[in-house]
Order: sequence, then C-alpha cells, then structure tokens
Amino acid sequence: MKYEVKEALNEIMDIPPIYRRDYIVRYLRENLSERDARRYLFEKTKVHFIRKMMDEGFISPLDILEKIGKDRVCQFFHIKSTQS
Amino acid sequence: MIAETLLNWDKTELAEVLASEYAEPDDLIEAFPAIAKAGTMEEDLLEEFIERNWKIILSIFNVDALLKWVEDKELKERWEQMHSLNIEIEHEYDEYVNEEFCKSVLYSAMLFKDTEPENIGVLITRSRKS
Repeated sequence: MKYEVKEALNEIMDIPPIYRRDYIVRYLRENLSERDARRYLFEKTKVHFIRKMMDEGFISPLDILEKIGKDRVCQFFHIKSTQS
Repeated sequence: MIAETLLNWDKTELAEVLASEYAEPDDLIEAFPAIAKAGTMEEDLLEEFIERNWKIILSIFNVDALLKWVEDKELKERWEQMHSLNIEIEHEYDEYVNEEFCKSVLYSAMLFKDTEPENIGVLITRSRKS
C-alpha cells in the first residue's frame, strides 16, 4: 500500500466510529465502481448470496453444480471423508 | 483531509482497501443499493466467485443429492460416449457402403469398356440374371 493511501486510511480510522461508517459509505459511493462493490459483496456474503439467488430462482442448484464440475464434487467428497 | 486530495487511482486503491477490509455488507449495499438484487449477478463474476468458493458453496448442498447428481452425471457421460461410438460406427458403415458402390460402378465400367454398343443390352440382361 502506498504511503499516501496508508496515511489517508489512518486518518479515516481516526474519525470517531459514529461518523466513520457514513464517511466510508460516501467514499465508496464516490470512488468505487458498482461492479467492484458487487464483487466485494459476494465475497463478504458468500453462501448467503448464492442461497438467495437459488431461493429467488435466478440460478438453479444444477447450474451451480455444472459450473463447479463433477471432478471437484468428487474432490469435495474426498476432502469430507478425510476430515471425518 | 488526505483521502480527499489523493489522485484518482490512489482514491480507487483506498476505496478497495475500505471495501475489502473495513466495510460491512450493509455499508456496500447502502453505497450501491442495486447490488443487493440477486438477479443482477453478472455471469463472469459468478464464475469467478464459484472458482474461489466452490468448497463453501458445496457445503450448502445435501450430501445425498450431491451423490445422486454425480451418479447421474457419470451415467450421462457413459451414454454420450456410447452415442459418439455409435455415430462413429455408423459413419464407418456408410463409408464401407459407398466404397462398395463405387467398386461396383467401376466394375460395370470395366465390363462395358471393350463391348460393342449393340451387345451392352445382352450383358445387362446376363448380369441381372446372375
């Protein structure tokens, strides 16, 4: 991380918590693309988001399994069997 | 404030750090309300997400359902193999039939090569009888 960016981050962290969240939200809105924001949201919500997509019918469980592939599903069983 | 005076690419870097480490999912949704809609997940983002998190995603599936899916998949693969093998055999058979046809045409041509035109009718009658 660049020195300036680190310094700016420190400055943001110095904002009292009650105002910090609003500042971060505003900063993200102005300086982050919506696409990147969505990517971070997926990463943070992980299974919750996929489950929501399945529940709302935007993707079927079969589509997800197809995307994951048979080999990795078998690998998953192998991992589970070694754990138990 | 330093954050406000950064150059554009540094602002983006800072925003990425904030988004990845300090922002809660609710903060991201508050900044961009549209991203919470499940149906708007881009195909390439989904691919990328699945690539990185497939183990966690698989953990939400029922194990029996997964086993059944693997079984069905193997069955389908075997069927597809058989199907492509059948197509190959059919193709070989067609080639064989065509080859035989060509041979018979050549044979007939050879038969009529030195024959006088008036005797061709006799030869055709003979070959029909045989």
